[in-house]
Parts: sequence; structure tokens; C-alpha cells
Amino acid sequence: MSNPRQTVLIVEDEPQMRRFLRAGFELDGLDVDEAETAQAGVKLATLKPFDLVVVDLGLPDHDGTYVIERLRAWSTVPIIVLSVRFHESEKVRVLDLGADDYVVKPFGMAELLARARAALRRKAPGAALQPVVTVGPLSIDLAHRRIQVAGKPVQMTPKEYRLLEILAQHWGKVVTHQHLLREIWGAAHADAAHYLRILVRKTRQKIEEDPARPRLLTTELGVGYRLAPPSPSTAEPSQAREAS
Amino acid sequence: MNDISIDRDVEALLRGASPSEPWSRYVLHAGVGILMTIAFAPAALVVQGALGVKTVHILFLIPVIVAATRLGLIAALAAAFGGTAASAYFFYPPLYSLRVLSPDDAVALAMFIVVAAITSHLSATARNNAGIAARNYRQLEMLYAFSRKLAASPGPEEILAAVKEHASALVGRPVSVVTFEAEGHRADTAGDLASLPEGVGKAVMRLAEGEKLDGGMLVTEPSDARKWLLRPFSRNTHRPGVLVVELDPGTVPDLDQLRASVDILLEEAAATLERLDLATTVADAELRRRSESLREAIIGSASHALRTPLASILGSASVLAQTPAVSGDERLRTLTQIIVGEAERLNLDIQKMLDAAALSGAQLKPDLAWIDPADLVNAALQSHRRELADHEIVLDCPPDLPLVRADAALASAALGLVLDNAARYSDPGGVIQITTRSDRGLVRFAVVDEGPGLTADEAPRIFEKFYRGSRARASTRGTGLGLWIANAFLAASKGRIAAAPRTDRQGTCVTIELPAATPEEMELLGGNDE
Repeated sequence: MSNPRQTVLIVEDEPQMRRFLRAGFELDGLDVDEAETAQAGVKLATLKPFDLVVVDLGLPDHDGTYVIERLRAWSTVPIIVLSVRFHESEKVRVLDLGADDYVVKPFGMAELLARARAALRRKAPGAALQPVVTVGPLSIDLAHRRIQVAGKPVQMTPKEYRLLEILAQHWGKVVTHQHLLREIWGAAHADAAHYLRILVRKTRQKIEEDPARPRLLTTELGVGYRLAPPSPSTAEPSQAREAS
Repeated sequence: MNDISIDRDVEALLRGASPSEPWSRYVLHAGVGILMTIAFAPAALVVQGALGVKTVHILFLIPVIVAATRLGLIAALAAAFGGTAASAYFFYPPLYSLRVLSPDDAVALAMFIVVAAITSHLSATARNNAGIAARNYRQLEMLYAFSRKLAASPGPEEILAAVKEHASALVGRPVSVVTFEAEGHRADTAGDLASLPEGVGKAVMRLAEGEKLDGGMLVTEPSDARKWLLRPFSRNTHRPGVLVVELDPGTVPDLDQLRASVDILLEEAAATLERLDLATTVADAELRRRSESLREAIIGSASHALRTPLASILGSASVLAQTPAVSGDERLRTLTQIIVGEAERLNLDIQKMLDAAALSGAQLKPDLAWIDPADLVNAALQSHRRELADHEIVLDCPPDLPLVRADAALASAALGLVLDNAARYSDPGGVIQITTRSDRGLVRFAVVDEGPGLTADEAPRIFEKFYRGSRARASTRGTGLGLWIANAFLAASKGRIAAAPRTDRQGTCVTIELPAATPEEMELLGGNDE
């Protein structure tokens, strides 16, 4: 990482979890601070700035969502939620509250680090101002409303473009069905998830090399869709493989 | 069914005449009334002799009133005429003749008749009312006793016994009760059906099967011409039934009265049965809810207790694998890979056991939605990517498949379990083919492996709990739960799963079918893309 040392706050009650998370993040070049409870985590976050917060959903004093809510009252720091078992509705809930991502326990460190890097890059200074988002062969020119795949312009319907635009604005992050439906079709169609399925399918047929196995526009089943993080200058594995 | 005659003629006859007492009794009453006046005549003569009262016929009101209160209207009227005749005969000139000379006396006697008739009527009515009140009181008392008994009844059997006992006391005739578990099912729980004559039994069955017997449900048994009254229970209880009263062959009963009193009993009993049904249902639901939440709590805490240390093991091993010391040493790298691999496998097995525990008893509530079949396959591939890492995945998924109607989480988990099974029971490096096809209103997912396969008789059994194929048992460890869970998940999500040996070479083919949108539905599902 070229930036000055970045700091991650880990809010987790299990000491063994904290230990390996610390080791993993430190190996990756980040500084780590720890909190055992939700209260302590929120307090620590007010005392010094953090670049990333990793919070467990099951904390002894409060639900992890308490931390998300309190932090989101004043901070845009990236938040990644960990939990033993996530029901789809819980995933949607933490995303709606403002979490950037979620990882289901148990997980390998590489998976968490990949999510952490994407979140850090998204919140990096200047990241929000990119007029062109490039993901693999796909380039989304937000300023000129143009889509190119492998350098060739591709014709999009207004809704297909709007879908890519929203996902590009939140690249690397899951955007929930509700959010997309509201933005594209309006609040009256917030329950018509099937519109989205068909629209995503048509869009994939235009941008994906193999629409049956999408790499750019991926599905988070029961939650929403995600546009893969833009290709950074340093090579990033498109599909993180653990421990290899 | 001409062996049962519903006795409409008898019914109509009884309804039209509606006499409550036979003629012979009226004749008897009239006779008694006249005798009473004759017996009273000497007393009247004595009184007249002693006091010289002229209007002695007034005295004959006494037998009239006695007859009215004791025996009713007929006897009283007879006594009134008897009294008139006696007065005319004994006291008004010419004596010892029914003729009356003086117009005054004639008027007095006429007045007597009128007064006696009115008195008779009034006192007979009073007597009748008193009788009805007494009977009502007795019935009420009986009904209260019955209600008390019902309220104390712990179950339907006791209620039916009470109905039988009280109905029989009420009508003074033998009563049978025939009940059925559910409409049309010939389960006679009270056991009385066998004791009824054949014709009556058939009529009862017809009633139980929901047929309407008209004619007030009076049935004549063809074999011996005895008459039976049938009354069905209220339709609102879960336990349909029929009350059967054998009528007295000697007397003609007041059918309306009988019906009314039996129906009151049955209404009471039905209300109690309903209450009882409700109470049982509520108690059952409460018990289910509590055991369900207990199960959820146990599964939740087991999940947490098992997964938390596993998360630390897996996480720590994955960090270790990235340290330069380990990644640079082939042996250490292999060891950490074993830790990671086994921890992940253990996690999957824990998930299966928890799913199996949750499935055994609880009902899955599927959250059905329209889903792209490709999304299901990719979600399954993604969540099992580590187990599938050593196999070559060949995916054949046409882009124009219709959307399927399924619970996304359940269907993709089921598909994942099938994929995991394919990987587990076939050698590393083998090919796993996933083919999705649209076929007449459904989408079929076929997962074909190059494993040991299964024999024809094993194929249907591999979805049984804890079942493991003979060849699989020999080579690989496993829980025998995966396909059972997949089957249960799919059943909840309105899908189907089947397995067969591969035909072209060794291996197994597992197919999953999910209901799909029709072309017309697909048009609607897309909305407008403007």
C-alpha cells in the first residue's frame, strides 16, 4: 500500500478472533486497534480516526448494528460486518444501515482482506470523483454516459445504463434489490425484484464474456448485485482463493 | 336405497293432529267428571236441607273446579254439565225431572253453565301451564346437570357418553350415538353403529356422509317396522356424528317436542366439543411454538458454539499460510492447507447437521421469488468453490432460460449440496458437468459426476437420512445427510430431486427440477425497459 499506514479498528469479543485478525491485517501492512464491546468500539472510534472498522454482529453488550448506527451518525468510515450466520434479510439490514460489506464466519483471511482493500480504495480520497470506472474489459464513462466493452462502444437501454451507473457509483459494494428498484423503476416497484432479474440478464449479455458465469456484474443471492472492484494498477485476484 | 323408508306419512299425520293424549283418556276424564257431580249431589242435598239455600247449583262449581285442576278441561266441562243436570233434577221444580219451570231458575242454570265453562277453562289452562312449567323446570334442571357434566368432561369420549346418558333420560328411550373421525370416514368412535339394525345403520351412514335426509329424519327399519329418530350433530365440530333414538312402538310420541329436546342437548354438546377442539388446537400450537423456539435456541447456540472456534482455527491457519515462513516451506504450506481444508469441511458438516436438526420437525417457510437459474448455479458454485477447486466444472447454461420460482437460499443450498456430493465422491481432477435446460414449465438442473456411481436399487434410497451408497461408504467419509437435506430443501421450495446412474460411463446424475415461468409470464416479469 502506497498510502501512509492505515489503521483498522476491530470490534470483536472473541480474543482468538481478534488475535488472528490483528496478525492478518498487520501482515498486510495495516495498523490495528481492538475493542471487545460495542460501547468501547464506538468510544474508540470517536477518539481517533480509523480507515476501516471490522465489527462482529454478536457482541456482549449490544448488537453489532448498534456500532454501525452510531458510527454512521457522523462518519463515512468503511465498515465490514462479520457474523456466524447471516440470513439474507440480515445482510440487507446491515447494508441498509450503512455497512459496506459483510463476511460470513468462518472465513479465510484472504477473503476478508480482499473486501477490506476494496472498501479502503472506495473511500480513498479522490475515489468518488472518478468520471470513468473501469472493471476488466468494461468501462463506464459516468460523465458522458457511455459504455465500452473491450474498447468498443455498446448500446444500452436507459434502464440498463442506469443499472450500470448505480453499480459503478458503488463499485465493489453490494447494492440491494430495493435500492436498485427504487432508483430505476421508482418506489412503487420496490417489490418487483423480477424486473431486476431480467434487466440484469440483458445487461450481462452485453457486457459479460460468459453471461452464464458473470465476472463483472455478480449476484448476491437474495440480497442484491455487485459490480466487481475496478481493476487497480496492481494485479488483484479476481476470485480470491484461500490459503494458496 | 329403497330399503329405508323415510316416514313422511306418519310424520304429516302427527303434525296435523298434534294430539298429546289419546281419545280414550278424554272419555275417561268425562266419565270421571260426571261421576264427581253425581257423588257430590248427596252433599248438595244435605246442604240444602240444612240451610234451605235456593241457589244450590253454585255448589256444583266445587266438583267443576276440582275436575279442572285435577284432570283438565274435558273433565271440568263434563262436571259442569253434570252439575247443571243434577241441579235441574234435584233442586229446581219440577223435582226429579230435567225440566225447569221457572225462567229465573233457567237463567240461573244457564249462568251456571257459562261460569262453570269459563272456570273450567281458566283452571285447566292454569293446570296446563303449571304442568309445562314443571316439565320445563325438570328439563332445565336436567340440562344444567348435563352442562355441568359437559364442562367437567376432559375429552370428546366423555362428552358423547354424557349426551347418550342424558338423551336417554330425557326421552325415556334407548339412545345410540354414532360418531365419525372426519366426514365420510367410517370410524365409529362411540361404537354404537354395530348395534343398530341394518336399515337404520345405512341411514346413519348416509347422514354422516353429508347427505340430507328429509322428512325430519324419521326412519322405519324395514325388517321389523320399528321407528327411529335420527338427529345429526352440529356441522361445526370436527367430529360429525348422529344421535339415534329408538321410538316406543306402543305410543305415538310428540315428535316436535322430542326433536326440540334432543336438539338442545346436541347443541350444548356441539358447543362443548367446539370449545374442546379449540382448546386442544391452542394447546397444541402453544406446545409446538415452545418446542420450536427451544429447538431454534439450541440450534442457534450450537451453531455459535461450534462455529466460533472453527472461525478462529480457519482464520488463524489462513493467516499462517500467508506468512513468509510458511509460504516458503513446502511441508509447512501443505500442513496449513490441510488445516484450512479440514476446517472448511468440518464447517460444512456442522452446517449439514444443524440443517438436519432444524429440518427434523420444524416446517420450512419458503420465501418464493422469481430467480435466474444461472444465479442459483453461480451462488452454489461460489459457496462451494473450495470443495470444487480440484474438479473441472463444465457449465452449460443457455442465456434464454425462463426464471424459476423458488426460495433462493434453499434452492441454491440444495444445488450446493449436490455439487459438494459430486466432488466428494469422485476423484480430484474429474469433470463435474452442470447442465440447465428448460422443459415444459420447469427448469431442470443436471449435475453429472465421474464418481463410483450407484446401482439401480440404490438410486431412490440416496435421499434417505444417513443413507450412504455402498461404494461411497468404502471410499469416503460423509454424514449421509447432504442429499437428504437437499431433498427436504427442494420439497419446501416446490422443487424435485432425483438420482440415476450415468448411462454413458461410470458416474451419477442428480437432477433438480424447479417450476419455471411460462413465456407469457416472462413477458410480464420483465416490465418495460424504456
